[in-house]
Amino acid sequence: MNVLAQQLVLGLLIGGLYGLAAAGLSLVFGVMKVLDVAHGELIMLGGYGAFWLVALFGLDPFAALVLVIPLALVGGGLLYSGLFSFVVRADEETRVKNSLLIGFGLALALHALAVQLWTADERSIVTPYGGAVIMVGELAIPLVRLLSLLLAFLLIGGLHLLLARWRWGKAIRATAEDWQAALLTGIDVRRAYLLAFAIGTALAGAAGTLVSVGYSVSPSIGLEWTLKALIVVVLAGLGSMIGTFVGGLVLGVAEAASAAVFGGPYREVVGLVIFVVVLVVRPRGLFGK
Amino acid sequence: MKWALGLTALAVLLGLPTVLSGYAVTIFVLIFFYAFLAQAWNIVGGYAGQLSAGHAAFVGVGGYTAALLLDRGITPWLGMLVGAALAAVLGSIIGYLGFRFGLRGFYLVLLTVAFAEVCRILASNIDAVGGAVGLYITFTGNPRQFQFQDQRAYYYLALALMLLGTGVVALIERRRFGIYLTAIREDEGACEALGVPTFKYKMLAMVVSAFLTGLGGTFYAFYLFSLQPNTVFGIPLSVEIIIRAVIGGAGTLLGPILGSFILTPLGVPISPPHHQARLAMTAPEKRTAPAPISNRPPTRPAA
Repeated sequence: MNVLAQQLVLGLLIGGLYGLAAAGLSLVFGVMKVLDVAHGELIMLGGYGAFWLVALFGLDPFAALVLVIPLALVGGGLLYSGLFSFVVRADEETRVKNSLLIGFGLALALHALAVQLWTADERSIVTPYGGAVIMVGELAIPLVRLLSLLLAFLLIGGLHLLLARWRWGKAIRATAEDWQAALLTGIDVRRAYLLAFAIGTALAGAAGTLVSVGYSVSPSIGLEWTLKALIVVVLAGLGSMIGTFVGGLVLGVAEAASAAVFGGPYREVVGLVIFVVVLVVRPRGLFGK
Repeated sequence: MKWALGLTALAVLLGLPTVLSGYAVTIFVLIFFYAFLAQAWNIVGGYAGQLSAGHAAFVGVGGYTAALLLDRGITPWLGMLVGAALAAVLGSIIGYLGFRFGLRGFYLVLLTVAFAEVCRILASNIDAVGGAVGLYITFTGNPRQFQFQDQRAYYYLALALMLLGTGVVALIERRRFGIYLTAIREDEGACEALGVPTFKYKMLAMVVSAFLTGLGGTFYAFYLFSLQPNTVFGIPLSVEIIIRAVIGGAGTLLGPILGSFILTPLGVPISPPHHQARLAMTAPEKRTAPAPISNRPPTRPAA
């Protein structure tokens, strides 16, 4: 019983990161109607960014977020202008096909680049408080992962406020809903796309940082994180960031539960089964608008 | 004119192995093989415009079936058809879920990817089908077991597959079936309004495409002698297939072939390790040993 409870707690903790990873993807997909399959690779790069900031300058990994997020914002802006701005207004079939191929090409290139630069070894950030554990009854909660969960929640809450209150946040939401109407009301739709993609990349960077603290990064984690983020996006549906966070938690707990019941290898399967069922039964997702 | 060009091209391709080196023959085998897979994808992804990003699943099912049946003494020539039939069954399940529930664009892409991933995870974890190590086929050189001493046999087989795929697509293209598919791609709503049974034709396209791709799986298995879940069921293989069709021109008869002629040779120097092994077997000159993988210890921060 305790083992199961412990598993579920760990599932909940990683679920927060699934939510954060999915939030960026969901924002980009919702606004641009383009699925960025290189999202996991952006998370991977964020993880390495944080790793090197810690390794070279001795920063605290959570403080490194203050640098990783703006860097990722700029990087995202460049990626949008260089690659995705060309497909975003193409007709539906071309947009789907070409954005997938662009994203996949980008993913391969970033993966190869990371292997060249940093070898294929797994790395993780080691902190003095990395081993600290909070005991609640008989449940052990790793401090770093708990902090990550809280930070993920704060970031997603911040994003929610940004989209709800900020002038450009409203512009982004309007563009997501109906870009032609948004254009007619004088919104610079292109800039809304740019902002959405940059913010999405920044969230990926933040997620990567938290992954490299509580877990580990290697050049090949990208695809796995893309899949997790996709599952959460489909599960939660578009349009609600808080919903996406909840979706992440649901996936984390469901994975932990299925690993406990069916054994480790099948933890991946439950996500995919959820994925297929939601796609077929409720394609707009649990919280989709 | 068109016929003359086609026949000349065919004559050249038939004669090529007599003048080509073994290495070049290998590259042509890969060109034909990927052209065939891209052509099979073209039916559902190109003509019907229903993007599947999970075609690797059909390659895997086809290859695994033929390899497992060979273990039970059934020749891959028969196993090939069984594998293709099973791939078609999988295709009809995916197609039913996708088309019955009206999934389009990215959502159909995600559904197909999810199925391929489930296949990959199952194949990696079921020991009866080799688990994560996959299946290895012992080379016997026996044509009954789909194996040949002579490289050129594979060349002609791959060429035959490519011609088969192209022939099927050419037949479809001229018939009502092909015209329906193109119409569905252009405007599905209008098709339905005009009484085209769109669900039926999309299903048919998916099943034919899956069947052909499954045939390709057997060739893959018995050409490379190994099947690993991560490579045959992996997302990268699906993308390799799509990208050839799209670069050459999805929804056109010769697009996938053109795409494969452009992309496959480009990919040779950076192709996956299992292809490299096959290429090395037929390399023109003795190559220097590959550089050892860097043993540089990872730099870890002094915590």
